[in-house]
Amino acid sequence: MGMRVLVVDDSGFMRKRIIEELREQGHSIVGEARSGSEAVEMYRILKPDLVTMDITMRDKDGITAAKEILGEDPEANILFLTILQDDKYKVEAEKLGAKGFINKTDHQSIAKFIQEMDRKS
Amino acid sequence: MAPEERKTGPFSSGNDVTSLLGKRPSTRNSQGVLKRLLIIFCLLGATAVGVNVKFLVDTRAEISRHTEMGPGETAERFVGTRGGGPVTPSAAGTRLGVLLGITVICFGCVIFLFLSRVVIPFNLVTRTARDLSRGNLSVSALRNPHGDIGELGEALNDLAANFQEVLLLLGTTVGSSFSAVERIEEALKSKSAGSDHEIRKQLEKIEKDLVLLRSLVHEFDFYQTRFDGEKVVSENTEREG
Repeated sequence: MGMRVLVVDDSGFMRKRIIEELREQGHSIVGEARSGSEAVEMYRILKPDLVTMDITMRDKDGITAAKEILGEDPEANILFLTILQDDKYKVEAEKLGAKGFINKTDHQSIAKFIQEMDRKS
Repeated sequence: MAPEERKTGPFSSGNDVTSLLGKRPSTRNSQGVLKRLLIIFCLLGATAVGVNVKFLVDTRAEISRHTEMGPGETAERFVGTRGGGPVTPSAAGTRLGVLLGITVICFGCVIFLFLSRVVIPFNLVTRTARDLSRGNLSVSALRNPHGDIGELGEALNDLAANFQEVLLLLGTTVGSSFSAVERIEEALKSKSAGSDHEIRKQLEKIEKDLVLLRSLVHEFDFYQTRFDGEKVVSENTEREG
């Protein structure tokens, strides 16, 4: 069926890669945000099925943005896509209630994870 | 490259973001501050000119009245009128002072606005751009959504974020390939039963990394050059040929 996805990443080129990958899998991109602040505002407006969230961003980082989104909507589906291989972020993401934490270059794992999530929903 | 493709290039900002959050396009933004400054300058200028014109009209009227009266009149009668009556030299001096004050405030406001909204932010952005060009990606340009130079700062931040992402991706991919090479070397040394499988597995990993790096490189458009398979060719040479 495909999910309505909000892509959050401060790098335009990375957003483009993620969007292309998700579109190929049949998901629709409802919005793209360049920072945590934009992500929170756009989540309120768009109410997407899934948010792919980067962690390191210049304005407001992904962890803080996810906290705010989950604070407002505990049912929000947030998937962290990052290059960081630091376990502390993974633990923090799990604690927050994020649905997953995947390396953003691992397209296979991302596709598999979202398909599984789509199937469950 | 077609204009449509350019829009979604690696350094493009999310159109959805600007439209949804009500931000203006950067071209309008960059003109905004100058327009506003011009409007303020025109308004203040018009006020100063208005006061000047009134002062001149009053002066001419008073001079003509003075001429009609002849030399017998008192020297205390001077230029200008206040409420239809004669104005003393001290009142004219006050009026001149007010006029001068308005003019000084006009120019002061314009200079202050120009410095605070254009010169200082522009210098900060320039400094950030210089730092970025020297390879310091940890710097961040000012983010001021209401300011016009802020839009330029955001574009610089986007550029820095892209560079950072590419370099981190490059670093992790190269690191992963290096560790795969080390494992291959170990497998070759040990020559155990499972070494063939291990070598194949690690080679696949390296191949995956290389595919990722190649796809990364092909995301970009280059100045006067492009990839032709594995070769880098000049677009000028291609056109000449």
